[in-house]
Amino acid sequence: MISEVDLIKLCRKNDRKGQQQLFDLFKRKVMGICLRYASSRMEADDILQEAFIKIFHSLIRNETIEIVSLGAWIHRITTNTAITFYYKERNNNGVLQLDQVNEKNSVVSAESVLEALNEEELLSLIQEMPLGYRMVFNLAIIEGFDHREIGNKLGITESSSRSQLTRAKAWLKERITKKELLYG
Amino acid sequence: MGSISDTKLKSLLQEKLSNYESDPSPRSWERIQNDLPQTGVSGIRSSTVKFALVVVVLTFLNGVVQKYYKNLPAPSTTHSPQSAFLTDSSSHNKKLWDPPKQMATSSIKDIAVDQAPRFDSSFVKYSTSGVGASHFSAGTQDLVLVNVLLKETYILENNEVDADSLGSSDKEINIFTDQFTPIKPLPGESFDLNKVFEFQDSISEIDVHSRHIPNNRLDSLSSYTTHSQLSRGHWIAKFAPLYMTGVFIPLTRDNILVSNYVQSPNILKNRLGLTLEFGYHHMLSKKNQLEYTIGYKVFSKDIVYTTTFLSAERNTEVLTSRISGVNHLIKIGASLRSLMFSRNYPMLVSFSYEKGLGPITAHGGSIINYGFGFETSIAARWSLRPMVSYGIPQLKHVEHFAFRPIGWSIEVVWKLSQKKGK
Repeated sequence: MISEVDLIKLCRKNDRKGQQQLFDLFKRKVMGICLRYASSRMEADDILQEAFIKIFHSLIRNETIEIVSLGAWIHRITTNTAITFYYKERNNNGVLQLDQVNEKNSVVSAESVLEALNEEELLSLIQEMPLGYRMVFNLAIIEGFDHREIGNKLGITESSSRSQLTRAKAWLKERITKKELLYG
Repeated sequence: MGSISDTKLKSLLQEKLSNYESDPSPRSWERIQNDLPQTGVSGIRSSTVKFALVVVVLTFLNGVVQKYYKNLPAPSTTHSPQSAFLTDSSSHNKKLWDPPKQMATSSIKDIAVDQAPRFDSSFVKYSTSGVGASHFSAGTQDLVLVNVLLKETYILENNEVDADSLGSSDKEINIFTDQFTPIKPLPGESFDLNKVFEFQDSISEIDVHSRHIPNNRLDSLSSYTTHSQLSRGHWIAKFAPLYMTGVFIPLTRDNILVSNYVQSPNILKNRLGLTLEFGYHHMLSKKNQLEYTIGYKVFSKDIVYTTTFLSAERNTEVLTSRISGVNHLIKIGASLRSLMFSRNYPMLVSFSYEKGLGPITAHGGSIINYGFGFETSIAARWSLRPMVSYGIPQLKHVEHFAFRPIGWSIEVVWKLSQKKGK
């Protein structure tokens, strides 16, 4: 098994086999990240392709760039690519859609439903979220960024990020409750 | 059912999704590959590689052209049967390996230049001087392959140095001879094969006696091919004092009865200008060359113009205005230099686009200039070009007139560099 350092060296030389090895090594993980940020598998594929192209170009062009952890670096580039997609999407759709969420209904028992949902079902719930919610939700809940950082990344204010997250959570809980009613 | 807390939600989602993996579309890699630089070429070097490819292709085409010209049938000059083997080293002439019989009969006194028939001997010639080294061919001590380094200087038929091809360049020729007795080993050196020796004054014999001489000229031989001329180019710098006149053309207006203008008698304020240009001169064909230049032009104008209007009440109104000041322009141009009509005074036709700000070229207006002139050489790298140009403004520069500048200039051309010809 080729080491990460050697893999990076090969990619820097634009070696196609090295690039393919890196792709094969990280494609599933990257796809997992992309699926969380995308609204569909097709969009996730687009983000993945864009992310890998950025990764390879970055390695070829910036021969001096120091990569401590390849996985973390790829994760960061993928997240940033997803954010770029978010900007494109936002520009296409104008102002972010903010679903009217009844927050009063958000404090609903749903733990068991959430635990029962598998990854695909959870992902599909997240993918159904409005774009703005989905981005803030991912960055805050899964990636662990604080609201100041999220605000900077998405070009929104810190308070907007907070309110979007609250709404996103409420939105999710509402959906989970619906599922609970459906299944329960 | 109990409610779900934010913390629980977070931990559950992180647990389930942070390490979630899934397969991308099977065609993802294929698509990614299409957007990557070609294999073995890093992005930072791809432009260099492309450039190199272009150079290789052009070099190849150049080689094809060269081969074509070399394969053209020789004109009138005939080869001496006893000719031998003075060849251009780059041509690897087959005669070097002709049967030993010819080699044995070759004599230093009647060595002919293989290339001579292919050259335009009536155009450019070169004289030779200098001493090279000799290499002894394998097989016999009598038969010697002499490798001579020559210094070329291009000379015109009338014995003047050709300003275009001025400059000297090194040329290597090979001579096969069995008559090269003057060559002696240096003290202490044995008579080994491939040993380098000095000529010890024998070069003078080569120069005077062994050269085939086109047009009966001693110390010279034809050394001109279309290829070598085509390959030559050089950078030039031009400096041109300018004397400006101009034509004011009234624009068509129904109510303008009389239009008149008076140019200031002050030559410095109204007539003089200056052009500085830098560019590249290259061969288009044997007799035509092209120059591309970019430069700066400045001239001054001081004009008072009077416009007489016919008003609605059939009364006349006279308006006097003045434009005065310095015009700065950026200029790009191309000139065709042709030897078709005269070799000593090549004809020049130029075209330039000038853009700038100033009273005449207000609002960033531009002028297209057409020029005509000829060139005369004044020194090795210097020549003069009396030129006249006529400009057509692209905007209405003055309210009621269009100014068509006519420039009289003498361009001083300095040849900065020259590629070495073979």
